[in-house]
Amino acid sequence: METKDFQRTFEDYLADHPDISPEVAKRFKPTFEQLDDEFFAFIMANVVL
Amino acid sequence: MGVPADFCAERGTTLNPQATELFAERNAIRDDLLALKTPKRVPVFALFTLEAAVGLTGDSLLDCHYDTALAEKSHAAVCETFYSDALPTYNSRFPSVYDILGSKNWKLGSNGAMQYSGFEFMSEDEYDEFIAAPYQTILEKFIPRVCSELDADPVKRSLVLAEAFAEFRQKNAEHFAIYGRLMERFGYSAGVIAGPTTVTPFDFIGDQIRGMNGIMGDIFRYPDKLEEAVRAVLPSMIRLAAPGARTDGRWCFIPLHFAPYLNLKAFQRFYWPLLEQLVVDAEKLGVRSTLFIENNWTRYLDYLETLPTSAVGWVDDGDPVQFTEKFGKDHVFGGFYDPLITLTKSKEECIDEAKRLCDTCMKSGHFFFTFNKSVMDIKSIDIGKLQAVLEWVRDKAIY
Repeated sequence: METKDFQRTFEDYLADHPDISPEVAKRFKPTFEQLDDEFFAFIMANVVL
Repeated sequence: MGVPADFCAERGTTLNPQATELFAERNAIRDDLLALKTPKRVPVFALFTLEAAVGLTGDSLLDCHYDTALAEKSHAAVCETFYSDALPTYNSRFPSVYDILGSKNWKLGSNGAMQYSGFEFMSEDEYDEFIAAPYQTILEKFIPRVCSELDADPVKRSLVLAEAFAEFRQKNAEHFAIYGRLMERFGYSAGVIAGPTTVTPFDFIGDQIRGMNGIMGDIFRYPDKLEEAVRAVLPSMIRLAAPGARTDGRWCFIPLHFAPYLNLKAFQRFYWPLLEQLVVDAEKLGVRSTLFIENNWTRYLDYLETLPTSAVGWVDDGDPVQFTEKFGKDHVFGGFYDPLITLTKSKEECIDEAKRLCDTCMKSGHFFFTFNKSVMDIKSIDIGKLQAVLEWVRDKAIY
């Protein structure tokens, strides 16, 4: 999604952690993004919805 | 409500034989309905909130919020009392999360009901900042205003947010487990109200960010800013509807609020284009929308009927004839029936009302029977008469 403001993407995260292997990064990406979505939903649903 | 659509299908082997049979029948009806084929009968989707459910057990609502076993007993009591083809009971707000956050917009009433208090997060001179970066502004400026426990130094703020997030996940897990157990026990289909809730950009800004008073004035004083703001938050509303990567078969729920209070010009400029875009973009991401069409939208039917045919309408009020002829022509819809009439009319009159509604709306072939709103207080209905209505629809509203 294009909610770019204040959103740390997985690519941003990887840029800060160049030592993570591509295989591990591939496996970790869904977890990272799911948590990011859950946190976004939590903020919106419980604070401003 | 909120139960994953394939929950029972994935767990079919764990159902008891009677529930399995019921589930198969109900699911076939639901599948036909959603495919816009005429099902063998009108599906019945009753809806009661936890506030109503505790009225059946006599437990304290306040206790139920904090004791999941008590909440489950109340939800089960609804299932045991009223006929429904889908889970007829749910709880959508967890007071413990708001407690931890020190929420000022959602407060727990002394009777245990969650109360919304209108709260203006954003002043009129903050539009530019909000338009430039909505989520950032929410996190940095609005959250401390609306949650007293987050109006703190970074360390305390982080700890409070982590605690609230953990509690939110825990409560969600507990309640979905309850819904799952009830679906297995009673053989419910997934119904038509499921998935995450999102709202239209105008409702988001009007309900929360600027408040009702603020946004109604802004329509006239700052129309350009308001238009930019509703466009700026659309991506966030789509993200709420469709989290994660694209997968088909998902749902979102969109309760519609402000449109009936707007004149046509304001509706066309600030409300409709964003609602349409939200539904269309969600569909592109594999998410089907159920709209709660609150209040009377009859005058906007020419707009509603242009939505993608995957959109489902749960209608609060309006002309059932026009809804059937326009929206119902190519969409699944239901609602209209006010369960509160059971307090003032005879059982026969209540059934007659359901019969008239079914006679009209069944002409579409796409009608499901539900209430115009969830029942929120068990004392607001006559249990015996409402039982009779639901069972009449199940037994008599046959194509």
